[in-house]
Amino acid sequence: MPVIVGVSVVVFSIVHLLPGDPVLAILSGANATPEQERELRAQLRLDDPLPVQYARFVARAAVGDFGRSIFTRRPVIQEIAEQLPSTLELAATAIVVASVVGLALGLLAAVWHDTWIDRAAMLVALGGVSMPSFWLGLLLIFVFSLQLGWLPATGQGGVNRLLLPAATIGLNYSAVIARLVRSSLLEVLGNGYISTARAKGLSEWGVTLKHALGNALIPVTTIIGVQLGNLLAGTIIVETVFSRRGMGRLAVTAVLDKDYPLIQGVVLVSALGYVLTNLLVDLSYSALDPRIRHREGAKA
Amino acid sequence: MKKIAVVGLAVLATVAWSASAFAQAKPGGKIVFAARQDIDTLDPHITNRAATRKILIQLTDTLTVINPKDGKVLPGLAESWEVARDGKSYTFKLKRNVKFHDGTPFDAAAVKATLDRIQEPLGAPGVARAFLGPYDGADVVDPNTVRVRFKQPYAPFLRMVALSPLAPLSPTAVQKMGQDFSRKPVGTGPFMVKEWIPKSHVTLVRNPDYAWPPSIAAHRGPAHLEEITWRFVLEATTRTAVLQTGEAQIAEDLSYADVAALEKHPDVRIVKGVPAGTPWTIFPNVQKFPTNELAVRRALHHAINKDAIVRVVFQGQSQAAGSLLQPPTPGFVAVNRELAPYDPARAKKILDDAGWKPGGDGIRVKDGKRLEILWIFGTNNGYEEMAPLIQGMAREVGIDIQLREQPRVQMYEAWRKGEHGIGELNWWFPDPSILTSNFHTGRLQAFNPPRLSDPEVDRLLDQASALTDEGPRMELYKKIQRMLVEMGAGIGLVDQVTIVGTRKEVQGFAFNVVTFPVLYDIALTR
Repeated sequence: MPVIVGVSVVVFSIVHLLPGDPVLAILSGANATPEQERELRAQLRLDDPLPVQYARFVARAAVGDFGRSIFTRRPVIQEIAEQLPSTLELAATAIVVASVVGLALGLLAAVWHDTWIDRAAMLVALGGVSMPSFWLGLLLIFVFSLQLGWLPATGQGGVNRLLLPAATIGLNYSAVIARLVRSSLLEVLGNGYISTARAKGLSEWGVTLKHALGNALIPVTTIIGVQLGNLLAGTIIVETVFSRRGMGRLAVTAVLDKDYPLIQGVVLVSALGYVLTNLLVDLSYSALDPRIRHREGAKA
Repeated sequence: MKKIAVVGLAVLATVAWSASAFAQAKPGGKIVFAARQDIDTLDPHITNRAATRKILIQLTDTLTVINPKDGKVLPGLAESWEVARDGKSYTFKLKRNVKFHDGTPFDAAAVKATLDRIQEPLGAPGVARAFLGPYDGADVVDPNTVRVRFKQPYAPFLRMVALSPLAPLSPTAVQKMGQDFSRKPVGTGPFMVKEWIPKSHVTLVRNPDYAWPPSIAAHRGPAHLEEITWRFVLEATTRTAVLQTGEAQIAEDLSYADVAALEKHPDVRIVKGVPAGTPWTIFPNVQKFPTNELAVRRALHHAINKDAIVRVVFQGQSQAAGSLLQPPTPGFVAVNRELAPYDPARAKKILDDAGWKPGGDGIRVKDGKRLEILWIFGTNNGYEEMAPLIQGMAREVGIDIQLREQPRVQMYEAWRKGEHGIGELNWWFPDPSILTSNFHTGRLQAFNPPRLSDPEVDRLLDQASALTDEGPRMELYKKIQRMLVEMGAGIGLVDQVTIVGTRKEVQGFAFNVVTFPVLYDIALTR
């Protein structure tokens, strides 16, 4: 809650204090007279003092009403509701891609560490981190749409239209995950209980998958949670490159148009999403780590 | 026998060839149009985005139409018209048996209701209000005759009424639909809106009852295409890609750099058009030091090598601007080559004579002040590649142009306060009265990027916009262009050019006068 309130104040101040006037943005191209400008300013209630505008914004936002977009005149909440599912779908698929690829690379690198497999896997990871998503996205379009003709380059609907954009974001983050899985696995593999497991005669894969991986995953979960915020930011570029609808596109238009209510709505909803993800991550610790679960059990 | 067989074969081949050329373009089919920009609304009276108007011209008809080939005004929904001798009213005779998409008959009352609605506070006053000018009211003379009155003589009206923001709308739909009208506007045009998925696409379907195209159309009756998906594909590289893969049949505003490669693509055709309006133009601020000095403005114009900009930035796809208007605009006269040719030596001499002497770093100095000009250029405004090039050219003659990028909204604010040394602006517009927007004292609070307030220019602009006689009116605009270039109030750089790519199966693609795509005549060969 404090996070959300803080975000609301910051967002409101930033959009109103930065230079740039939505009334002028609307009128650009219209050749309007100063009198038409005053009329519009009054209509949008942008002529009230800022504290009054903030109070109105908070009172409404508290009941889920972010007002109407200055440009489309439709309720902000409706604009967001139309775009959010597309972004969630993209983000969820991207996380799956990132986790699967990241885990696989990390595992390979850890099990065969200090061999050429390790170095190859980390090289792939380095490539993934270093490549900006607009470049990677265009590259994927070039290879899979233009050269091979396997997948469509743009649009919405169906897994085949989701794969390229999700892979673009996912590959970027898989690199981070891969490196973390590797280092944290290596650390866990050095522990005493692993030697015990080995002594029991378990195969190396058995040791890694059954005994080590669970513990190694705890920091990985945290990083996936933290990355989720960045991942949402990543959708802005990817949605544009692949011309998908979504929150990223909405945010960019809102900022360029200085559409105050829309910016505020988008940022608040994103902040809410961030808070909820962190909560989920915290809860998942107790599922993954018996120590946390039992400590809390003991307290109760 | 052999000879006959050969002739027979030749005849057969000829028949087959002509059949493939003409008969294969069949009615029906669907296309995807990859558009550069998203839309804000579909209400013709609220929008001021070209992106929206490109869709609106598929949905509406206008009272007049402009022939893109010669700029002449032709009948549209109005069969004929009379202009009052004082230029203050226009009487239109309307076509009969025309219906809006919702079945409402099109008549004089509908025209009046449409024009009256533009005056209502609908929220933002869009371009429609600007196009309607000094509107006073409209009278329904009889069901098929409407008279439109103005407070002052308004000569540009016959061309303004050819634009979609002034197109007749169904008064019953406006009444019934309320806010929803901006999602699904109802006109008389060859296509209708089926749905609009924000940030994704608008689906247009054929109007099966359409039977009243303007005379410049290539066919009569309903449109050939059944459906158009108007997809927003913001990234230029992606638009090129979807054209190559065939995901889109038409892609607009292709990157200049991609054109050469696409021209070699076996399944793609490149179509180029030059819109009426104004070229890519920069405007020195005549009220601010140092561009308040005529010598500085003239020198700057001589220092700019427009052909080099065409080569480097436009990859040879356009041409150096001839004036402050684009060639297809009525009244255009090429004055730049005569009055302001590229001539760095002359630029230097003008500055020398005005007392600007080169300083230690090559930048000129006068009375202890450096020759520095601040160019505030807008984000994504199309000038970002030209700006550094021009900066380099100006440096050659000792002018230091400083570049500052700002979002467009902030750029406009800077203009109003007069903080800029150079401003940039270009328009799509069918009438030379666009010069009023750029240079009239009355527009200091709106655009007028050079911050010009010159009584003689104002007088000529006012006179020209009141003259309904085309001949003398265009002569006045020619005189004004010459004056403005001599004053250095605007520097036309390069003509705007619109580049669209279509798949080979697309037949009958056409541009309107401002190079918006006209999809009515399009048919697919299969």
